[in-house]
Amino acid sequence: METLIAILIGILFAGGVYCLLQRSLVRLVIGIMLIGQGANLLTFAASGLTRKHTAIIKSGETILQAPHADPLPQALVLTAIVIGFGFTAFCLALLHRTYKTLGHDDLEKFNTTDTDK
Amino acid sequence: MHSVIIILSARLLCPILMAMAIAFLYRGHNDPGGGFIGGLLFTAALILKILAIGAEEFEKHLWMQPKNFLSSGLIMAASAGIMPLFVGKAFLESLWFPTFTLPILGKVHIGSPLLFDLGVFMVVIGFVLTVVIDFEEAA
Amino acid sequence: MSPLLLPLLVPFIAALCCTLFSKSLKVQRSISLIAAVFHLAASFNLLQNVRSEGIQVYLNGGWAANIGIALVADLFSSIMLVITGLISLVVLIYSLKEMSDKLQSRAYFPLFNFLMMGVNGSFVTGDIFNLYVWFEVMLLSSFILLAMGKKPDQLEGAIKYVTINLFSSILFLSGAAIIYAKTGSLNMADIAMRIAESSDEKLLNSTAILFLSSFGIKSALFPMFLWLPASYHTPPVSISSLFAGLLTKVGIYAMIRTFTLIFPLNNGLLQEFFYVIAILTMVVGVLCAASQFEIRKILSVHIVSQIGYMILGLALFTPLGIAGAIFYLLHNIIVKTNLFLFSGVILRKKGSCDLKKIGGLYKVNPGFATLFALSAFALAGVPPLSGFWAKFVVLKAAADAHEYLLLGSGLAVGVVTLFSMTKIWAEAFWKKQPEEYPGVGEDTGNQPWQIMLPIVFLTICTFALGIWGELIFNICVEAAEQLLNPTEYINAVMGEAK
Repeated sequence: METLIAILIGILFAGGVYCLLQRSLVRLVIGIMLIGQGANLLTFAASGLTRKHTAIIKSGETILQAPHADPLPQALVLTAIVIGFGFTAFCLALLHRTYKTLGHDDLEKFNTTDTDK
Repeated sequence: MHSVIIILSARLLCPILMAMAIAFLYRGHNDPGGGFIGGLLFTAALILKILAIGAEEFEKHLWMQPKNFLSSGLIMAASAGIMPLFVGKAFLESLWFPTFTLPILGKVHIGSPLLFDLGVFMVVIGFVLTVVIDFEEAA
Repeated sequence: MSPLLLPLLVPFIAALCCTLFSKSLKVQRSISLIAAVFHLAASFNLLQNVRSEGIQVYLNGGWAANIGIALVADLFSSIMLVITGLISLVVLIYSLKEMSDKLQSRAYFPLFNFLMMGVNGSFVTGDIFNLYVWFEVMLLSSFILLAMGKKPDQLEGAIKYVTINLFSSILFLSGAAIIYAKTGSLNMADIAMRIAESSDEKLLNSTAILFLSSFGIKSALFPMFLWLPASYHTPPVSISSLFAGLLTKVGIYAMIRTFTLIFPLNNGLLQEFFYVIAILTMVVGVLCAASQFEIRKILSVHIVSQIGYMILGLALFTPLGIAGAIFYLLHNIIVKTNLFLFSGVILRKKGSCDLKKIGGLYKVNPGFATLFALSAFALAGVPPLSGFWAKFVVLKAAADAHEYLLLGSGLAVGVVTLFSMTKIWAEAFWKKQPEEYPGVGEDTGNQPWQIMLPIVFLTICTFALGIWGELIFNICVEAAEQLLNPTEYINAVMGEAK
């Protein structure tokens, strides 16, 4: 299972980097989102993936049943997803505003702040 | 834009989605669910409504600006964190009311984690609505 | 209430109150000012506590340190908190007049306070994932502040800034995930303990490189610095000066924390890598700066070369080197913020910051010109100003470690910095106003006190840091010794767990 997830993470990162290298602004945002998902998946897989119980003590018992999943990566990935969600919304708003203001989405033309005018 | 299918299905689906959202919010402390997921479900219902009747019409029905909703949610979440400090506990430590029983719900736990989740719930709704209405009006 | 919580809660509550009173600018201004004063006082209080009682630890939610999120303040964090409080108050006062009311009403005050919360949070957290979250808090507010006003330049700068910073956050998240997979803990003290016992050098080095590239992007190291000069000069001057003063330094803070506590730099390979990066950052940064003709761009690129000195101090990994890096950090935050504030006044007076289009400022206002000269020469390292001592200590540490290449490049970069500053002085202040450009801004008269007070105050700080620098330098040395002996830190955090 981990091998499969590792390959998937690799594909997400590779696809994301490919999109980042394109000239279009939309692909830039898609690329960032893809890499973000890759990192989220990496966080999720951090403590191994197997079928186990949730880490909650059932009613009537006093201790946790032995094979239980590590709850921490799940909490971490939830946080990371929420943060990524906020950033995606911001990126889309920024993209929209930029396109409306500048009238194009070609990254090659985005060089006015680098040169002396 | 005003498709009959969407209008009719929104009328049917919205109440169900909202009820589910609140159920998810409530059970979130020990089971899958919680403020963020509940909030997203709730906004899904509202977005369906926006798609059905349009953003301008939708805003007329709002009794509170989404931005204010967002900030009051933040204040609730923050107060859930700060309250324990006044009774000598650590920041964000849970405070619980004694458990009591209600007819349908059974045993009811109410405490500061629920307040925190409710804050998150409101923040998510406020945030997504702000963004969606902005986009809907710009498009 | 623990003194550790106050630097986080004060900006947070202020931000919430500001969102509540979003209609009234007056109320928002007074709330933010009061909060900034409280923030400074709380940071001083924390520094006092840390100096008298040792490292402070606060466990959130009452969980043990290795389970919950711990807040930790050692001397280094509390020094950074104090300087953040100082800069936030100063920049806030400056922005009251510098930014138009229209801009201020666009959620400037809530975002300002959230930004401060993010910066403070990064300084006090003792948990690596929590550090990521604070970075994101800081970044999201900084994104919106950067794009505020929505001029074409700003949007373009914002796209570059946002893309590269999001990428760096993702690297950081991956690093944190791998380190969790490796050690099973997220608490930095706990990680440090477990890594010291571990022997898997390859995995450790690769994780260290993930952290290095992530923090390297955030603090604009060579070769990942090009986003900085492309974006920092575009927003309103108050916002640029805040970013220039604080944001890259949070990256440096995170770097110093990680590479003293979790991955101590005393292994050969990583340290040599740091040497190379430090030299290249200094040299390339200063050469890029020398070729620019826009004051704010010159200053932005100089941030990069200054960062090189701090990394140099860290890379040497001696008490003197790290103390020098911390002292340099303090000096640079004050001077860089101040120089950006100066550029705002020039922009108001002349309507441009392009050196080819302005001139004659000395004749108009010699007092202002002298203040500028003091700060500019402090940056270049002319004695007895603060920059001289900062550079002197770092380079002395390099000489003590017999790293003469580092010493030589540090000296050479200082000379080129002096050239850059002299260029600004000669072009903007000394030469006559070019005849083909009118060079008249919107406000040519005397500047209001809200603008002049921060500038004069920060210049006095620069001067004081030069003349009574020993007092502050002694604290820096103590902080450096604490950083180099992580046992004290680990015991303070993990001891609470027992």
